[in-house]
Amino acid sequence: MIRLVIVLLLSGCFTVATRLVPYFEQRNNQDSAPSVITALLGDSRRMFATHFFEKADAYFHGGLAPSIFDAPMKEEESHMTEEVHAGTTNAVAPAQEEEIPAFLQHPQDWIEKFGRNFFPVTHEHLSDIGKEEEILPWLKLATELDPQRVAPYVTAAYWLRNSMKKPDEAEAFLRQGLRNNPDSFEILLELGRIYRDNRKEPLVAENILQLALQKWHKRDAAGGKPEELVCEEILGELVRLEKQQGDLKQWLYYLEEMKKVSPSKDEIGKQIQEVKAKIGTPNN
Amino acid sequence: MKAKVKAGALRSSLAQTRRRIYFTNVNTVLEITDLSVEYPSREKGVGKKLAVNGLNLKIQAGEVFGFLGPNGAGKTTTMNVLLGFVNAKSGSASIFGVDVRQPIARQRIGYLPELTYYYKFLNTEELLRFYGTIFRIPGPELERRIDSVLKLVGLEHARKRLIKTYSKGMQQRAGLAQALINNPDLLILDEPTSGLDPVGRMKVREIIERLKGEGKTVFFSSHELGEVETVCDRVGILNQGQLKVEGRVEDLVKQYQCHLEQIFLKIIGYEAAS
Amino acid sequence: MRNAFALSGVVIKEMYRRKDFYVLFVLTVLITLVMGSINIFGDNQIVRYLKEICLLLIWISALIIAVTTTARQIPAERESRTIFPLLAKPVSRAELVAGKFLGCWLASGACLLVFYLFFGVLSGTREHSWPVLNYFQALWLHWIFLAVVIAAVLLGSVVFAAPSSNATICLVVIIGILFLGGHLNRVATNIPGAPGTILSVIYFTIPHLEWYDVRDLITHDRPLINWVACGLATLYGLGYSTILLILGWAVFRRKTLTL
Repeated sequence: MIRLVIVLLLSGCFTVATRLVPYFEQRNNQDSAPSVITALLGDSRRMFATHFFEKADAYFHGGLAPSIFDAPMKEEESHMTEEVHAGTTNAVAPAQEEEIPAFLQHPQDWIEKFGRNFFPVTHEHLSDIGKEEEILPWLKLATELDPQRVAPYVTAAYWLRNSMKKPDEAEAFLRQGLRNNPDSFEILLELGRIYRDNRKEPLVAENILQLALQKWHKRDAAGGKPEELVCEEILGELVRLEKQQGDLKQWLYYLEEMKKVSPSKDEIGKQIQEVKAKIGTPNN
Repeated sequence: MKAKVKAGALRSSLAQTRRRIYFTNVNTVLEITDLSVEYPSREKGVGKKLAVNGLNLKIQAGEVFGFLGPNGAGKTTTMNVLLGFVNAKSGSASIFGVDVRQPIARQRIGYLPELTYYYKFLNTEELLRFYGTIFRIPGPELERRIDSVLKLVGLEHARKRLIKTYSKGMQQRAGLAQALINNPDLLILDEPTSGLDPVGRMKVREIIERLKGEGKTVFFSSHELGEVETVCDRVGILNQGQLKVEGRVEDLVKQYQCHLEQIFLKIIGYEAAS
Repeated sequence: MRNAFALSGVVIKEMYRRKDFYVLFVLTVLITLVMGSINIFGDNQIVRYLKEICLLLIWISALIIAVTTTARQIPAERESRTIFPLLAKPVSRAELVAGKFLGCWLASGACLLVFYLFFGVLSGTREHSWPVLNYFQALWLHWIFLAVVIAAVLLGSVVFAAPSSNATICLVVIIGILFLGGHLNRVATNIPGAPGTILSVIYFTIPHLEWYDVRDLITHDRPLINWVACGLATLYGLGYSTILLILGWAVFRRKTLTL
């Protein structure tokens, strides 16, 4: 009985602690102070953060995920972050729905074949059934464990603003990410999208995106080899903004910058010619 | 079809054994013939040792038999064979005419080990109900038996108390109660008064005498020779695995012209320090 | 069989009079509720992570209860000498093994029922849906899994003298099978020679306990498992349990019990 009481008391203390720690952290504005988890896990927390990010991806596919013994899931089969980069909510390829993924084809023996009755083997996406929010706890946990990992902030913010229509939460989460990663152009890109699409503040969005572009160039100059795809996306957003605002010179400038990093140079070249033609017209 | 016939034959054979156990009124309750039991020795370099060597013994119905011997003589080993805990090297043992290796041979016996330990999380009533179920005593009859044995051993007041809260004497009485739950015809008691205070010993002795009065057969080992002399009809003295002497207490006293204790010391070759 | 049931009754009594189950249940409930109270972007519709955590805790708790309870059964009977008055009754050693198995299995089943009831209520109140059949399948397969585990631990308890070493070895083997069992053949095909063959033999010999872990199907609201597959998995699990119990009995019947 005494042991039971002790266990209950310890559990009670744990419960109270989980409520009080975040409260006082918020109150004292001590976001930069190391959390209990950080202190407990040390550097191994990054390994857990990776695991939780992968778990979020598995959740996005309705629990379907390859094990370490399987061939990794093909690029086109993972959409959790792909949609973020595409910047659209309709990027899922419907032709692949309900198909058996590559890593689950050809069972080697009857044990493997029969075992497939007992875990998810068909492909489905949470975005198809409007339950994208289910991935958020793991993304949040991944950022708690490794605040320097950028992808969970961006992915969570994307789904928060697009599917759940919670731009305030998305912005707060991105700003938290920005405090931990002040040089992240990916976070700035997503923040810029919020101001353009949700806040309808193109000027603020333009400033944020320009800052993102600067950060990208800064890292490129420092030899950080940033992804050109992200730079293209930033420039693409800026092109769209300038197009909206009708600033042809800036539009042309960003298109020319975009051509340098984009693989579809011909397509952009055509757009450049169109803008140049518009600039040549006296009305503009 | 063959399997069905085989299963049927097996069932009928089991039923026959059970009927024999219940209804055969064999005069020889316990019979041990040329029994030898080996034990791995604890000494280095020594392989196996004979704990019991060519033991022959017959106990008749209604007898109280005292099984005596110094420590390590082979008394408990013999009981272990009778109860099926240990397999014999050679020879045979039967209870009510049934080989002791068959579980059914234990249907009509009650056993009290030397040191009694029972499930600490049960109370005596639950313990007796559990053992009674194993003996297949029907429900109402079992409840009556529980009441009667608890009354006999004087544990009625503590029947709902967990056994772990009992004193040593109470635990020993609970042990006696479980040994009596099936109203056994043969009681095997391994040093039943060991570690008990004088009142406890008296109580155990009273119970044995009462059972004797009811015509039960009792086979018990003890170091309390005075007690053995009082309650036993016959005794056997075992030393180094061999039965040295066996007979009625009065006959032995007449033959050796001394008390049982002196006979015992003589048999085991004890010489007092001068 | 009546003796086996009588013995199982004692095991069940032991289980509910000890505090292990209550402590693990209270911890499971508390941790799940604390996790459920965490504010995730102000959305209270998020439920899958909670289901996953709750099921994980249920699996851990059930495994601990089954392994620790079973591991101590026969060694404790021998150590406390309760086995002697017991075997002095008309009880065979086969009945003793069967009774211990039955008791541990039924008691674990009762614990599972309580755990899954909590899980059902928790997910039902959050999701407002009650896929009772899916939960029944998960509970049933979990129970069959525990049958194999309990039979294996019983075999271990007659082979290894100390309950703690038995429990540790069994836990390592069971967790190893759960994580790696299904992949051994794939690994074996990439390893040439005798080690690969040995790995293949192990793969085809071990009970594939990973089948019984259907947590992902429950967490992600996947459709019901084929009932035929469920039935075959049941037969497979009970078959393995029987083999392990027979092995346990074969070892135990030859054991010399000394006071």
